[in-house]
Amino acid sequence: MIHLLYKDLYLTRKTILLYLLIGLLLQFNPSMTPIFIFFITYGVLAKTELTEEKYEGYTLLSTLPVSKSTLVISKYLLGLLIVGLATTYTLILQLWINNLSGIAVSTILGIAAATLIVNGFLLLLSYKYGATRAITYFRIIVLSLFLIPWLLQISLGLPGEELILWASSLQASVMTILILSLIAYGVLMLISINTFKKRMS
Amino acid sequence: MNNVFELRNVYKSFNDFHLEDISLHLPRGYILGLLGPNGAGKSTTIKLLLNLLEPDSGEIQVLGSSYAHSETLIKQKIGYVGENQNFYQDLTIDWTVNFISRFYRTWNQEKLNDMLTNFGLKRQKQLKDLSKGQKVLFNISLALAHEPELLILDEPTSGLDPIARKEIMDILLDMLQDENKAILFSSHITEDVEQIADYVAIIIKGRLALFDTKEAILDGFRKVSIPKSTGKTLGSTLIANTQTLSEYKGMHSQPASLEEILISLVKEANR
Repeated sequence: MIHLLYKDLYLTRKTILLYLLIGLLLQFNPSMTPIFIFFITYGVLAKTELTEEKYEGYTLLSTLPVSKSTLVISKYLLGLLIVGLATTYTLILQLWINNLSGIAVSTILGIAAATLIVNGFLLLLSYKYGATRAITYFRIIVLSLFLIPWLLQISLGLPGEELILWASSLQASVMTILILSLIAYGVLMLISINTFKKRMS
Repeated sequence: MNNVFELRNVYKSFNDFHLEDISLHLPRGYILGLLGPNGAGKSTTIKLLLNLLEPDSGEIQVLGSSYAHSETLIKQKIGYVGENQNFYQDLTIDWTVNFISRFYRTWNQEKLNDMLTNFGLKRQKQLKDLSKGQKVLFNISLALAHEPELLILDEPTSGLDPIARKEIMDILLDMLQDENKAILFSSHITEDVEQIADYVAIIIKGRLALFDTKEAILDGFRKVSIPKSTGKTLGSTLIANTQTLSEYKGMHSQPASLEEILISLVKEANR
């Protein structure tokens, strides 16, 4: 398992370094900070899945003495690792640059929880449809998620302030959201193992 | 006899192709050559043996176990060289060796170093900079470094020059100095199979057309021709089963090669 994780980190090392640099710059604008956690996780997972597709990596890995479940679990662990590192990186930089005054810790953790679920879904799509198609579908879905609240606000006349208040109220129970997101991430991983096994048979 | 693998009545269906009722086995210490035209089902058979595909029905036993119970244990003892060299091309030989070696309990680094040196493969070279022949030799080095009991090669010599092919054939024959090992070797180059195989299986259109020792197959078919003196001609040279040879009285017969037998069987299947 550890070799698979190391291989993915090595193959995406340039992507990680690039995102860490962008993340550093984003810290000076606290409202943009949480986006970093999402984008570095998406960037690393998308890059590793595209690499596996390009070089038929899963075929090579499946001939090694490693189970199909382990291959999928290693990708989900990679996602968890990147979210954890990106969140820690963000918290440390915010503490150093803004003394954690620019953005609430609960907001950062809430974004980390959402990132886990959304990227767990990206991996599931990748095992179902292959990396290239999965990334296209994923972009459409994520864009829709950003667009739907905005369209609702425009078409139904919902006041923007109420939406922000509702979102803020969620932050109060951020630990619950974190735990729920980990459970959802685990469920997505189990579905992905099943999907991958079917795809490889 | 102790078989390294056994396929019993294996069936696998795809949208546009079926592998039907394949029964094969390979005793330890021997080489099985898997022959057939492109798209006949050779690679599918190999993927089934490696558990890269699961059969719809039938039974597959490899090294005395089934994949359902001991997938990682079986794969510890299998070396695989695919037709496409599926490696991460941006990585170096050294990095790839280091990565692959960590999965195997029995990794002979000294043997691998010797093979890399003999093949002139430089450790710091990126895989994308290797020629096709070098990639195959590197793949074979990796496949042999963990001392596999069963080596499976899917069209390893396709697209290689005769010198590289000869080098690979020598490696395979050398491996069988250890009688505990066995090799499954798929190819559409019949010359390679005829040179090294002990057993031959011919798959055509997803069906097993022939499976026997190479000698039995070569003895079982004759190339038949009509003497010019009779004034009659055959449309083409006929490959006849020796059991039916008596039907061709007055004709000359001589030994047929595996290639001629394969072509004859394919023509028959297409009729």
